Amino acid sequence: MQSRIARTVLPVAILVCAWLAPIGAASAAEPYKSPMREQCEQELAKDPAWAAEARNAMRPQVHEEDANIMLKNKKHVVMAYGALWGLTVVFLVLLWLRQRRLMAETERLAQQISKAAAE
Amino acid sequence: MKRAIYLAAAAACIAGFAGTLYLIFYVTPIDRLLLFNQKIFYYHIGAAWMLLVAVLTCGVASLLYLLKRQSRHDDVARAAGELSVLFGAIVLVTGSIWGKAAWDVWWDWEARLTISLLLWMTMVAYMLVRKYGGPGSERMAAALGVFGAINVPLVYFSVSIWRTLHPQTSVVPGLRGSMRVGMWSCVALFGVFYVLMLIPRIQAARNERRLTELREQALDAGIIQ
Amino acid sequence: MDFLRHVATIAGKDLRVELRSREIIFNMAFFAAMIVVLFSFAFLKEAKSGLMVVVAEVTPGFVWIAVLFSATIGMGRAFDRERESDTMRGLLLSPAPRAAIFLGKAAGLFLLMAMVEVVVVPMVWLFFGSPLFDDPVAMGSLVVLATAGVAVIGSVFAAMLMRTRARDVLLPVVLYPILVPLFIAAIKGTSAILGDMPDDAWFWIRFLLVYDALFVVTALWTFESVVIE
Repeated sequence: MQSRIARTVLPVAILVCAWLAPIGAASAAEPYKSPMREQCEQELAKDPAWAAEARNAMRPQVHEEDANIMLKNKKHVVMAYGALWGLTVVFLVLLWLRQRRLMAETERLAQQISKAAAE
Repeated sequence: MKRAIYLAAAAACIAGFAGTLYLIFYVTPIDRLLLFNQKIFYYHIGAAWMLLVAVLTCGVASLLYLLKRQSRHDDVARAAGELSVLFGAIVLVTGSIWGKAAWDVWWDWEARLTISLLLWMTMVAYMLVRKYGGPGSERMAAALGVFGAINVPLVYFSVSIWRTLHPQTSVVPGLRGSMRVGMWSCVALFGVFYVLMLIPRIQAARNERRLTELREQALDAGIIQ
Repeated sequence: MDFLRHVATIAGKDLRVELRSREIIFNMAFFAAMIVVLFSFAFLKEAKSGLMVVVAEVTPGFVWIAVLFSATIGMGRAFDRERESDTMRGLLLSPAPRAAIFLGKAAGLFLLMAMVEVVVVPMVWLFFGSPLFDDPVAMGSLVVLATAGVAVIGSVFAAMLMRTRARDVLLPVVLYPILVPLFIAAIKGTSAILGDMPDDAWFWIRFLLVYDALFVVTALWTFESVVIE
């Protein structure tokens, strides 16, 4: 339970503090390490509403990336299923054509035999 | 009675296609790694299993034909051979498209793709022998069918070992929950589809053969020219 | 022992007929050599010393493609000869069991291929400096097993297609898909020998043993049914 909170809280805390960091980093020779970090994390842990809000604020970004990849790749799925149905249809059409030819030949043979038998 | 069963099975198959498509696109979750493209996987796996089943059917039927010389085994072998070419084409095309989506290349000498290609080419060779072999081509094709079926595990083994000397590029996700249901229902669906295609194809092969025999008889009897 | 005597007689007959005219063996050997030369043109690159050398990794392919292609034309021609002189019927009528006839033909083809390999393998060793003879036991076993596999399976299919009009074109079509595992094993085994990896090499040699055993059994089962005299 605790590790779950830690896993969601930590990235949120890092992001939140990262937002806040540029405000304080006037001289950015070395990356600024916030002295308020532990306090931040503790506060987030204490205030679940704030944590949830921060998490929600991040959400659209995650979804946007994923959504973009998904949308870009939908065409492959369409291609694949299209090809699958296409191949099956071609096969069935070929079978049907062969069946028709077979029926026609059988007819022809039957006619020839009956004609010859009549003579 | 048989016809009724067949029609019922065909209806079930159509319902199955609709059902599995619903399962695939609405029920199964989106895969973490491959996202939406993983949906190709379900029918691809179904077709791959049926490719194997068709090749084995052809092999067994060919062996029976060689040993017993009964034409009905040859009919089964021919029908299974044709279906294996169809399923092989489906596996290769969908696999290639999946490869493009996942690894951005249309073809990769990955173990499974290579094995499928070799299996498909063996069955295409089978159909070529059937078509261009002239008299006695049934037996020749049967020999190829037997050799091809026995070759399947050897090809699988040698190509897999060959590929493990190269870095692995495929990541097959572990299946959980509804994904597993989706996959197995697709396999089952393709199984039913295979049998539904096999039976009329065997019938058609048998009719073709009877027609040729009848024509020979009529020619012998001098009834027709 | 009678069985083996039949096999030896038939193989000996094939060899004697061949050695009289040397038609197949010379053509096969030259064809194989030509393939090695052609392939080397395809894979030349400029080395640091300014000389044109062949990409080293592909030399196993040269050997086995040359052997495979020349074996294909050799087996086609060997059975053509049987058909032309109509000797197959005589063979089948003889008291020799069918299996012995088949193994005799396969042994004859094996010997023809061996003679070609005697030309090709030293040629590759000479032209490309490939250390093929560094591990003679492994190399020898690999070559013997691979050649045996090709000879056995090739004999079945060549005999099967003997009377077919499209036999020249259909023989590679039916033969090569079946030979793929053998081909992979031969090439990877040769690469392993060249790359000084004896474990890998012996793995592929064991694989070839299994492959040969499986297909010799299959061939003996199916040979009788498919030979049309």
